Amino acid sequence: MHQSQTQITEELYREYFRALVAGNRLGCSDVTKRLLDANVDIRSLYVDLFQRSLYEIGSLWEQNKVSVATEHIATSITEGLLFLAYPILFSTPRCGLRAVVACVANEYHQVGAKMVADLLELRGWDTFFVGANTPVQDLLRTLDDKKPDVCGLSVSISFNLTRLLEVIEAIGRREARLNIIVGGQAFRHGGVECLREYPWVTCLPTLDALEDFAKGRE
Amino acid sequence: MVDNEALRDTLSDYVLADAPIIYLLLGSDGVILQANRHAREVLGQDVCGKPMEEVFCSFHDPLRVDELLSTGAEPRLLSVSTVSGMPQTRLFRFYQVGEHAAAIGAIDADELETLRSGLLEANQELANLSRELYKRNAALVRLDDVKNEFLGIAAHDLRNPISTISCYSDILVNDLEGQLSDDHMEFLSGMKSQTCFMLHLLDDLLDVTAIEMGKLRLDLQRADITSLVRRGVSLNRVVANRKNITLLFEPHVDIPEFYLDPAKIQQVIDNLLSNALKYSEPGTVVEIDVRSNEGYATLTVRDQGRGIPASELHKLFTAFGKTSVSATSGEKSVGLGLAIVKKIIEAHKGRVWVDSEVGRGSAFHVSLPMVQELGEP
Repeated sequence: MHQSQTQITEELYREYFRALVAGNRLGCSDVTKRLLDANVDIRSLYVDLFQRSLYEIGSLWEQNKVSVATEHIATSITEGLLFLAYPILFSTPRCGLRAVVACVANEYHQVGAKMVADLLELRGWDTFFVGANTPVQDLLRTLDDKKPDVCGLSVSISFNLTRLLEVIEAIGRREARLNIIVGGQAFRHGGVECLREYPWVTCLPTLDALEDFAKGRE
Repeated sequence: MVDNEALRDTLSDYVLADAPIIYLLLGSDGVILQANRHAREVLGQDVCGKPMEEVFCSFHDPLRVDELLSTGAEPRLLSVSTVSGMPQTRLFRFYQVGEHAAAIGAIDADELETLRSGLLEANQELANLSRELYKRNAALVRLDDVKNEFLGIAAHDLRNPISTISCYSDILVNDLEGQLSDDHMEFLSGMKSQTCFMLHLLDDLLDVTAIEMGKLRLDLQRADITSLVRRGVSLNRVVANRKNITLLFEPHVDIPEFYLDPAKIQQVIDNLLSNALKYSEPGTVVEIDVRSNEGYATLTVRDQGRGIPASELHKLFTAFGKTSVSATSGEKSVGLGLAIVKKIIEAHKGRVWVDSEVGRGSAFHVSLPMVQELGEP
């Protein structure tokens, strides 16, 4: 029987955001648990609560309204809250597709990449999340070991785009046909043009774009 | 043109009132003469007038002002005792100010950065490991489901042919009695008993897999537990008589009917009695008792068997768990009966436990809530 799914109201979002800015882990956890108990759509949780709030905190930091410490704590809290969705995420039936997701070397912002891995997992993909600051050789070994259908790479800071291209080329030398998807805040104000020479690389600027891509592969 | 005097005043005001650094003015004797606001917040409002030994932690030679000044503006790590009780380490520089010395202590930014990035990295690693753990756990659960499904299918598919063999061996035993040699009749009887054992095993396997896959459904009805026990005793009397074991059941009290699944509880009673008989010596007594107390009905099956070592009790209620104690007449067991008992009783929100002593026997207890209305907690 289909259970109706609860929406994330603006009021609930604001309650969550206030707790997040204050570094109140328990407050954020409370809102998240209430939403999960009310059968919230996991994708909506990720996009409309976690992603939206992190973007908003990032914007406040850019305006010098919060410190970098606040931003780091918010990221840490959010990453901890992803666990609450894991019992649902990892119990969906497998669709037979695999992905390896990583952040390039010197990239320490991993929560966005993790959300990509998690949302693919929700669709039944078997995902292997390698983590932040992944050296090229480690990534290549993981690709050899897991033999994924897709490799996802995350770049948050635009001056790491050069490293991204190095990784793409290294992967291409090892496995020319592997589909690569890239994304992250580094592409917020352009940067896609650097991928023109790599037609097997797809830039997915949003989680909606990721959904469309995944549907196309399934 | 920079007004140096105005600049000095501004900086001085800033250091004294706002700067997040410890500023202390030390006399030549090491007494603290002046402290800025931040120093008073960290070290205590009464820091002025204290000797520096009371503020600076030094585990070896006492600190001396002249010795500190001799290092010039070279920074040195020193720890101070704070109002919170936790010592704090700062990078201190000492400057000559007339006859006195100014001590300036700042947070080591490099150390803080190392700490910050170390913590973030550790946190990320923990988050990633936890994700991996959840993922592997989910894979294990899926594997367990596949195993249970396979077991269920295998048991179900095996049951039919074995049932057929059991039937045919029954017919042969009945129809050929007197026509075959004693040895051949013994073979047929042996075939019959082996197929019976296999059927029981398959039934148990089917029960366990159904339970493990969450398919245990209770058919709750108002029933009389005393009648169920009487029926169990009656059904097991044949085996008891064959082994010369006395089954003793004398109900002392009337226990009112309550909601339970009669078929499942009958299964529990049969399993407990069957176990008691299996592990009892000839000439002994298996005593069954049913009592009620504070809303619970407790069934006890007590035997005078070999008893179970305390170190092995934990194996009893687990699937395929077997102890070192063997059946007294060589009866076979795969260790599913008590696991099924536990699952059924827990589904009734009851409890099962055992008391046992090697050489004296065991008592298995089952406690069931005496539910009078469906929907009661």
